[in-house]
Amino acid sequence: MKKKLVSVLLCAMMVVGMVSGCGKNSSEADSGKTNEGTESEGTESKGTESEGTKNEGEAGGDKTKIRMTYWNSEDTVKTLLDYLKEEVPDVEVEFQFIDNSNYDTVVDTQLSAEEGPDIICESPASALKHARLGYLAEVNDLGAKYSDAGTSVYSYDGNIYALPGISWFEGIYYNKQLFEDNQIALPTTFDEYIAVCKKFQELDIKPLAAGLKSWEPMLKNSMAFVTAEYLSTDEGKSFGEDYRNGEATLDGTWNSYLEKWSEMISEGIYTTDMTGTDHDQALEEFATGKAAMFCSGPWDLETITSKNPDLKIDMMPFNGTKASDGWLIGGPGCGIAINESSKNKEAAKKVLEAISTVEGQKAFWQDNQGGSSYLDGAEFELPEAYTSVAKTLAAGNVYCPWNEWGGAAGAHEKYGIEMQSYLLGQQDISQTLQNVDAEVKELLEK
Amino acid sequence: MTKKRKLRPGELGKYFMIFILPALVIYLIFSIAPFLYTIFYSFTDYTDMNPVNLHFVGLKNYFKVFETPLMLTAIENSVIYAILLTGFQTVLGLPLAVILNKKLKTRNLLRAVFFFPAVFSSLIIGYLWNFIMSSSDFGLINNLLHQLGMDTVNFFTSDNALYSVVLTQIWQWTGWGMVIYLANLQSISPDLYEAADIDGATGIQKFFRVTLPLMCPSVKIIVVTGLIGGMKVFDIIYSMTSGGPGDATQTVMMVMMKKGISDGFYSTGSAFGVCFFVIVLLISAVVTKLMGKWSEAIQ
Repeated sequence: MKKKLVSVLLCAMMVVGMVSGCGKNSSEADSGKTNEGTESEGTESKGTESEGTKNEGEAGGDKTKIRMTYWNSEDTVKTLLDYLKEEVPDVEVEFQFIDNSNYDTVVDTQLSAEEGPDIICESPASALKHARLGYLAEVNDLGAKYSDAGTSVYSYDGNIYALPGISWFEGIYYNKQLFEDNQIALPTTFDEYIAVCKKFQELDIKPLAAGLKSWEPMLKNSMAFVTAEYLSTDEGKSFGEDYRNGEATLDGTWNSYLEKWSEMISEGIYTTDMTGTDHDQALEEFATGKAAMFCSGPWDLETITSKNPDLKIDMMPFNGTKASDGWLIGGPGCGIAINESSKNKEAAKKVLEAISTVEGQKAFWQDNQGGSSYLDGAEFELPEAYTSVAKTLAAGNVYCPWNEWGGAAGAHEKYGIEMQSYLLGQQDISQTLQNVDAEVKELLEK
Repeated sequence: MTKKRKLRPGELGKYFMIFILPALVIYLIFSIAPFLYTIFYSFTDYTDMNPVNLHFVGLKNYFKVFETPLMLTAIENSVIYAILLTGFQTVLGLPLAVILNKKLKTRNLLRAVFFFPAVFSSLIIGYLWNFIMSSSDFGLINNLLHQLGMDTVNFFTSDNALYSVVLTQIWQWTGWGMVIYLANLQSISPDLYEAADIDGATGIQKFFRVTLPLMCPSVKIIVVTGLIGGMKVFDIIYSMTSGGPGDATQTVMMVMMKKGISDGFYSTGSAFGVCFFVIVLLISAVVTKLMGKWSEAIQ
């Protein structure tokens, strides 16, 4: 009898569990299903909870709930989200962080299933891909408010498909104290930079901390040199376009510049030992004063200063062989696009309109200080740590070569990996560039 | 008092079927169906740029797999990794188990200590060893070598990186092998050792003539699971080297993730997956056959 009672109780619990598990409660409908309603439902003032596109606001008004995905954490857009809450009160932006390593895969899958986010943060390469597949709505009218430098990488077939976010850039952080104490002047050319590094070596100070376990440092450093020497010149200006159209190759074009740049290796500034050091460890070396320089961007500034609040740092640009304002590697941080199949396109557009104002850009910039806005008339004060690159930024010398590679932009990782092999003496420059060309060709022919 | 009806042979089968059904359905949906889809996609031109209008392309994707140096490097590295890890795990785990099967005062403590690394995720172990093996001033090993006035070692050159990863995994998984061996050891009857003692066998003779032959089942488990798991290695490579420097530590799973998913070459990734399945199947079949022969020889 006792056993029967227990089994009846267990069965009842299972049935209750199944029923409640299969049911849809109001909180679930509120939180997740943002795309299930029709467009008209999305703009109607009255909707049922199960439609999922509406949320009853605290003041009793209805809110359209939209989803926005980004590969950076919510902290990097916190001020912007707060601003949107005030500026667009009838729209609730649900922020969704997706880790960078899975971002494209997750978003691609959602978009192909027509369940993508309403607002998508896009890289130039993914924006181009999604535009070609018809996943993105054109934003030409809002795009006109931004400079061409920002919108060109998000344009396809004469239309703009994403609005450029706050720019990112990477230069060379340097320890001001070490430069001043040893009376070393900032270099203005590549040869001077090599001389500065050698001087630090003579003083038994590591000139440059680099986490070459990652493929990124040599990619950016060498490309900055090629930018200064070739891509920024009249001769090289069209290289990006020619390359993505399959009319040019790296091998045969970039060789001489990289041969010169490889003095970074032959002079012992980049060493094979560095392949055993990762980014965080290199940052630690710089922050603790064991190295004089470290290549990175604004995203690392807080970490560096928190590790050593007494460290006096500034940033210098990358240089070519001729004296100039220098160059930084960088571009639009992310492009903000609208999903063509979104049921809440109007609400998404309202959000993009709010971002496309000086106030909106300021809110966006607040958590990305150091970068600049591409919106006409939006200019912000540069933090002190970037005094030495003020001229570079003012000259607009911020460029990201692989942003021009179109559908093959992802091959920049291959470039960095091949440069690691070059550093380790496994291949020459020509072979390195041929391998990258092969990958680019494969991606472009996809 | 009611008389219980006698069950006819095979009558219970239908009940067993009902119990098996949920697991079978889950297996079919989450394993068999995706695998069949993978085979199907491997004969198409499915990419992220062409997700809908698929065309039959024959063996094109399979030829591409064997023409891509990165994929061949990945297969080679995975095989080296699997063989080295399984070999060392098998060879080192057995004597360790034999020693810790003896009546030592610290036996339980030592067993726990050796098994402890296997409790952690390989990702955590990877990040930990990353710091231990770092060539920066903060690397534990190199710091010690430096303090002793010796030359530092770069564990992550293209020649060393794969072996450095293997080393950490031997450290992590030998204890797991030891536990499997211990379970087997404790099932060996002490009578056999007594008989061997009466025959005047030495300790080494007892190990090779009594212990080792009877350890066949556990060796089989460790070798087969070690080889298959080793071929599928991903997390430790991801956390320690991300496949670098260059392509020195690329493995099948790393390349499948990169090419097959991130780069959007879904059909090529599928073909690579099918090839990998065949390779693992062949290795498993050969190992099982060899272990079976060993088993027969003992009997």
